[in-house]
Amino acid sequence: MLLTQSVSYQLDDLLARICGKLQISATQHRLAETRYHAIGDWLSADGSRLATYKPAIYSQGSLRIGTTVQPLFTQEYDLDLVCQIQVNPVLLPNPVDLLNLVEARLREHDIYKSMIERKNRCLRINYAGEFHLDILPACPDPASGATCVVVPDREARSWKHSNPRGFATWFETIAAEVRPEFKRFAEPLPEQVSVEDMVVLKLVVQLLKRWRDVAYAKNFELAPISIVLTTLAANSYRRQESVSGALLDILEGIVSEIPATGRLVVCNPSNPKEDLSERWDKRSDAYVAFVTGIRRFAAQWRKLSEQRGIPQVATFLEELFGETISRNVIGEQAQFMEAERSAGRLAVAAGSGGLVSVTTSHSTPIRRNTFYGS
Amino acid sequence: MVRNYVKQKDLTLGQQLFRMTAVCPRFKCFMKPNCVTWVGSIQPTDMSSVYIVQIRYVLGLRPKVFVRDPLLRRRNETEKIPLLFPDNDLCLYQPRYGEWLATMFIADTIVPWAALWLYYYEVWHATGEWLGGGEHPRARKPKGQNRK
Repeated sequence: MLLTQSVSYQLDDLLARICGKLQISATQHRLAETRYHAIGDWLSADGSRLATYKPAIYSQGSLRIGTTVQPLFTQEYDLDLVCQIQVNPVLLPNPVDLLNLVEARLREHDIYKSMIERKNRCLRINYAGEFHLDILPACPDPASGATCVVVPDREARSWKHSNPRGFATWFETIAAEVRPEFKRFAEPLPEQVSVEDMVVLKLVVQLLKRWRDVAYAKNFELAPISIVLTTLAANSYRRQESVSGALLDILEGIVSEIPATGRLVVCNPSNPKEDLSERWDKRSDAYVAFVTGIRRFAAQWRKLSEQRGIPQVATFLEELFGETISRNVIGEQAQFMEAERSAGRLAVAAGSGGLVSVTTSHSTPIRRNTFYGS
Repeated sequence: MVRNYVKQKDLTLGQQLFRMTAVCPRFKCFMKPNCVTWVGSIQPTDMSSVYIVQIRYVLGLRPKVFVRDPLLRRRNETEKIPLLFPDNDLCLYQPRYGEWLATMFIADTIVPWAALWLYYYEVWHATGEWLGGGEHPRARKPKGQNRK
């Protein structure tokens, strides 16, 4: 953190620390990879009823683009995978057969068989206390080409369009490896985040998802889904290097896109046939809750950006992202400041009398003192 | 202490005043014989509030720093503000360690320490913890272990 050069640097440091705490750890990430590769091997092994279709497992969603967020009330991350089967979907008149085929193979495994849970479009394997892996069976979609796929939908009893790889490529192109500006002056980060992992748009997406988890905690069935938030954020992102600034612009961008009549339609930019927001057709109450929520978040963030006073900023952060995590990161920032002070690297700026780093201000360090009194 | 061998002269009010004007030009000064009062603003970090503080220095006594605006508040209206003397001036240094002596410029010591104090005060409000370290009269460590 560059001390006190601008409000945004100090706030961005807090926001990056929040994301660092929410992100899946490198160890857990490696563990998930080992686990899903093992599943892939089981599905494609000799003797598997799927072997002839050459099933291939790859990550999608937040695991693929690096925007994982620990859920509010559990330690278990939701990690999404695709199991792509090389078969022309026209040869499968009943799409749900594909789900059943993958499930049947998984149930032949001594360990997996007790961990499987059926979902509408995927099979979930629960690793208690760690994460659950949602495996989405998919077939290439010859009609749409490229990386497009179709996936079986249990409720609709039909194929749905998707393009998880194309979505990730689209997102990464927009995120464009733009690093937060404040990190250029930064000290080493909290160890769970490496500097290369810090990309402004990804941090903003994590913050949006965390806000969603907190804001809709009491009625989570109304919460906007991650891929909708991710797409909306990327659509409004303009390569800003400030995390708090990008978040403000993105929130205002999303609010300005909400149509006066009808609902906002959020399509997969890499496959326009996939309406990511189709759930809002059935749940108009969820759409209303989204519109109200995002407008409120935008208004709060605008106020926070003009706010002075660490306790006042803390109040906003606590409400938006949770009390404990916000207090913890403010404490960590203060401990960083205290370490700088002990190391004789703090000085004061002539203008504001504010605390600055000696290396940036070329001034004499503050003389050592011990606060002493009742 | 070094001071016993190389006896430095206490700084005059005139010297203090001159240094303050050079280093902290945003402070206004009010002079009386043997006593000077400065009033000015400190914003410890850019996210912090701006505080109007008053520094009062009577020759021969310890400089006192009071926060005038916004007034210091208890936390949640009940928790007592840490490291504050009963007359509401800030506890900035430990006299026993010679951290501040009349041979030192207030502008280079007391003013930055007040900025640090205000930063930790805000963090205390936000987190409930005073993270700036410090010592209390009853919690003195045994002699010889005072400092690292």
